[in-house]
Amino acid sequence: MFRRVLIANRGEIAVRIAQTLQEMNIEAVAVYSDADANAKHVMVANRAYPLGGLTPAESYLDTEKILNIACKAGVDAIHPGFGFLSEKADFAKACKDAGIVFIGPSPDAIEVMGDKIASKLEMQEANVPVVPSWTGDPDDTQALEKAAEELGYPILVKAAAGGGGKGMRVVQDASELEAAVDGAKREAEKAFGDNRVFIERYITKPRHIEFQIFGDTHGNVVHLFERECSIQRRHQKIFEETPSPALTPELREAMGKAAVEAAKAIDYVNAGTVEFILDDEGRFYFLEMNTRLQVEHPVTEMTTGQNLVRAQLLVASGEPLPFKQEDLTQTGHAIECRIYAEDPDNQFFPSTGKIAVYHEPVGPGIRVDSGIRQGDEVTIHYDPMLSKLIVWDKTRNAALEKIRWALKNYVILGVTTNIGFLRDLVWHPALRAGNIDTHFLERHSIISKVDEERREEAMAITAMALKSRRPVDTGAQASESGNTTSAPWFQAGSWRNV
Amino acid sequence: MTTYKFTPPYCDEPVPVKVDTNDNRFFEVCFEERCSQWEFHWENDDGGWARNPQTGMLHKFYIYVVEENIHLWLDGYLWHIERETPQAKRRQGATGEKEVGDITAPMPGNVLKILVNQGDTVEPNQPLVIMESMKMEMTLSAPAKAWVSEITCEPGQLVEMNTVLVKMEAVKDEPVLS
Repeated sequence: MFRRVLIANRGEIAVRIAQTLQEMNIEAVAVYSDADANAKHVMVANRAYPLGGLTPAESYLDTEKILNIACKAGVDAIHPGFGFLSEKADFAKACKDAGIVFIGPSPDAIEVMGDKIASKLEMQEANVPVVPSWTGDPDDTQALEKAAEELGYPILVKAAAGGGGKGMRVVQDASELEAAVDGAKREAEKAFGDNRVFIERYITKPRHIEFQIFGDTHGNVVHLFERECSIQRRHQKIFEETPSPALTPELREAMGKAAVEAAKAIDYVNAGTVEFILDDEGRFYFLEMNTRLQVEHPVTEMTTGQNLVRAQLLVASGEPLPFKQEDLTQTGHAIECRIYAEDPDNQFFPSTGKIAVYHEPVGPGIRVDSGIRQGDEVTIHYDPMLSKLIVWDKTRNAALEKIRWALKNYVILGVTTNIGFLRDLVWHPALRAGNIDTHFLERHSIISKVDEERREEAMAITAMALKSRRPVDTGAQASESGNTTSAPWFQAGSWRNV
Repeated sequence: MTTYKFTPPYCDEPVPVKVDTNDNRFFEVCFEERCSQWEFHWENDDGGWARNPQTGMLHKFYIYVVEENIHLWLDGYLWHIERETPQAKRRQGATGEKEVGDITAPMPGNVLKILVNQGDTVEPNQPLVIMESMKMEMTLSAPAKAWVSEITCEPGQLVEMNTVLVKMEAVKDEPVLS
């Protein structure tokens, strides 16, 4: 087993990986940008090295800097987390060349699956069903328009190197086609450094169901059941659960089998996710494969009782998978909500600021994977996901009740978040009935209303709070310089007139 | 006795709130002539609970104050209360411009591309500016037919939320030739 592992990531996933490393008595090495010098993922590590820079390109995406640190720190392996370098075949190869284990699949597997066009062809050959698409040259406007017409509107423009909804556009009719392709190309170039796009038929009322798969170097491939991730805004998941309320045991078995076939077709090693679209008639299509640990992996961990990062480390060090297909079962129900710094009342635009007050919910069956703490600054440089709230309970209904309680007891003040939105989302009658698809949030508006009857209560409590606190005038600017240990109460310096 | 003026959500006028205490534990709070008794306790630096001695009901709270803005978490719900500011017209969530006027940044971020020039006449929904923040790209479009009077940002510029990016003036529809 490894002695020392570098985590080439930041935020909650870096914190989560560090914990498992330490549980296994492996040293966790953190890297950090200038913006993250005081971040939680640095604090929890055993060693930490600065990358410099502010933007991802100058820091967490800089292969050379990261490999230099890896050599200097004498690490045996690099865990890429998700995002950043996790799906860069070049990086996986560079690690290998430097004699460092990349904790993930082979560069070839990343390359095949990272290319949404090549992966579909590969899957078609392995007899895994795929959504009809056209992969010609999108700059050939005539051919593009003809192909779109043949597939039938609405169609979806997608980045060949895509993921996370970036470089993706829905096109309702021919007049929007060219602008959508241009926008998708630009966004794809920005996000992935690769502007190739393709189009495919847009399935209406689709459910997003993905299967966690795992392969080892001894030829074993298993699946760890599904995750339903149909609730999305801007093509990004915000609510995930397992088991899916849409799957019958027969459908689950068929999809699980297809997922394992998909992985076997490319000799897949380590953790991966095979994403399917399920239409309202129970037909499923291969969408793409994510060749890394997934953001929503905790719901699988909660229902199978397996630690996926632990399994990743075992497999990467050459050991066989710690579980066989027949050992794996789904117990109870798990739900994850992604906590974002964003404003649901303003088109989910990202928000920034200082996390002035921060309290996580605690209780049996409640897990918070968080990369932040009180006093931290949320900047424009990185993804706005702050943390993940995960709950487990015996039934779906009990899990929904639990996550609603946990959301109501998750306090973040100072930065606008989607917590209130999620609290009302998980209580929506259609969601509670399991009647969801990826257009759920376009169809149902989640309106968070304040209870007017409680207005006087809110004002009375505010008045008592102001009256009973007479803090010293600390001067607003004194506390602007980074993370200080002083209580956030005094940091605003706004109590002068009390 | 202290009087505060608060503007809670969906209220246009500030509400006077009188509060009095002798020991910072038991309080009387009055809205005009309606008064209620409270027991009040700070649990830590940023929150605590308030108890109604008549009903026994407990309310948990956290509070964060920035200038005139009070952010209150109360029993699982967030309240944004403004203190002593009469101009409560601008409500959160009403930022999308429905009328011609200034186009402002809906989020902090980076100006990626400006798609119009000063003096252009733009059609409704015509893209004006492309912004980027936290790896997301967003297109800001014209809310109505308008004339671009000034461009107040440049590509590559980092802007705060609500920064004016493009200034626009209304144009009357051209007369239809018969």
